[in-house]
Amino acid sequence: MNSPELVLMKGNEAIGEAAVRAGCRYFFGYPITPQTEILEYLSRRLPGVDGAYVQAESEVSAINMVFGAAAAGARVMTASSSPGISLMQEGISYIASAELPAVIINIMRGSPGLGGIHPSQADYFQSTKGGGHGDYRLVVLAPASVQEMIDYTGLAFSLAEKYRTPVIIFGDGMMGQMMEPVALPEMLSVPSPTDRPWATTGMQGRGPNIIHTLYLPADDLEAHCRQLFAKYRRIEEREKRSMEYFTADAEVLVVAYGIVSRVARAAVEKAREAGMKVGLFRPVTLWPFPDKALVKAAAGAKRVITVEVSMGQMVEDVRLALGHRVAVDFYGRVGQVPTPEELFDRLMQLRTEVA
Amino acid sequence: MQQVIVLTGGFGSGKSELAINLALEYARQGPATLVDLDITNPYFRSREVKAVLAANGVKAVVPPDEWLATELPVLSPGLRGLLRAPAGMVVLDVGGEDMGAVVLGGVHAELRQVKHQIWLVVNPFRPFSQDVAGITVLCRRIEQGARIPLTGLFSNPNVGHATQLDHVLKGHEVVEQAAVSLGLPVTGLGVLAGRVAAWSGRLRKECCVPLVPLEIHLVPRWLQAGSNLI
Repeated sequence: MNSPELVLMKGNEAIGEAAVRAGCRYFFGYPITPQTEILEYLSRRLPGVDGAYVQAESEVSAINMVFGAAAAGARVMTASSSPGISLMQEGISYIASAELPAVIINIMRGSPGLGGIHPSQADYFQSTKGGGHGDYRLVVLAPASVQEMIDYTGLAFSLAEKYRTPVIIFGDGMMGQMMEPVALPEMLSVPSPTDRPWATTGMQGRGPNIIHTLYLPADDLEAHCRQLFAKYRRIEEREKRSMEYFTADAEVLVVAYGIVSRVARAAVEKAREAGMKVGLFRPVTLWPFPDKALVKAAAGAKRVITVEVSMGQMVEDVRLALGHRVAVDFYGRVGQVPTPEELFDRLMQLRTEVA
Repeated sequence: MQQVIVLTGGFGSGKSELAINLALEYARQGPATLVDLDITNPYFRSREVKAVLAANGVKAVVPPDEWLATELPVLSPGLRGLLRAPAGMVVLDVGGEDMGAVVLGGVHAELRQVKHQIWLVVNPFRPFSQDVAGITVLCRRIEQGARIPLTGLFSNPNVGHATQLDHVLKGHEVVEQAAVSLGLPVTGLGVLAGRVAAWSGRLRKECCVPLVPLEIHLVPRWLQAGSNLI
């Protein structure tokens, strides 16, 4: 059997390499722990593939460079961590309104404020509920392994271009730093900017393309927003993704994403060995949130418990999706990823509560 | 036994795990100290296992507790003193490739005065050290930052939890080739402790260097398992 060649890569590096293989040749960013290795890797890699890496003077500048490059038809990416993503919010709103494809990476860190460099999942609201001003949505992908960080980077670029919309990938400090064996995808060809009929590529044989986000007449703005939301409805219909583990007969359902889903899986396995009917539902797209799949997975559950590295953000979407069907608990840590042991203990407590 | 063992290498070479394993092994035979000199990585550093080291009699020279969870270039005071008068075996874990090696550059004079070894830990399954050319570039850059020549390569071919015997054999060949090219000895071959029993037959036959079993200390067990959420 010809298995793919494995290399050992750190999450951050893997994202950089995956972007290059997905045809991305432009990266504009700014250093911040724990994602700086994405910049370092791409600053080393891009020149060798005729790409351009520019370290902007701030994240505000970086996201605007992304806007410009995307408008000119380039496949472009940026990366940052929590406070840096906060600085990018205005730019993201612009990119969404201008209907430009772009990929943004958020390797989340301790917050709010300067916080710390520890892993975090506390930017869920920021990217799923807005973050930037105005009526727009951001597609949010949540990988749980270095291999998925590679696979979803490719997916992010293709979704971004399919829908002409920005896509963000959530990592956290631990995922950015951990080393795992991965198989790298084939190198895709770089798309030509002129393949995008809407991009500003010069006026050879056509009228001007104007990329803008200003809609002065009220009706124009309303029509524009309705158009954006018709698109978001299509994305909701087609692009919800999730994974499940042991949900068929689950009486208790754990809901977790990203790195926490790995911990949750280990806890669920241990609880199953102890005879508990517990399962795991793992959202992969945080927007659009896989509500229908969650309702189905929780069909037989007497209790749902959402686990996050935050004070509780995704839990609100879990409660929204499940309504009054079942009680939803929350277990959260800040600054540290919970251990399977502590989750297991919590599950054992729940077991006696729901019996 | 009194010697300073300096471990340098690329990101993901496994030098921190090796440093911890070596320090624990030396502590079984006499006084042993582990110095965490990583000034570039924010996580997965030997300072995180302070408690395990202490419980096993290894003196850990790491930044003070309040600075443990930072990425600041903090060096513990007393490094120079420790090098001038090493008590027993001293292991220096020097992270950060060539950038981190400047820490050694700052103490190269003291290092030259004591009995020491400086190993480049090599994992040929890491992107920039997959062949002789890559390993040579890494070696030169680290020597430049460290201002002192390497004395050997330590072979650590692995792809984490997916490592098969074939990876180790093929990877080790690359390290041997690099060693010949650089004119350096290969000082050892790291193997996951759990696999040594099954693999030692072939490894001892085909790789003529001491086998060093490695327990993983920096990666939590649940993360070592890999991910396959269906």
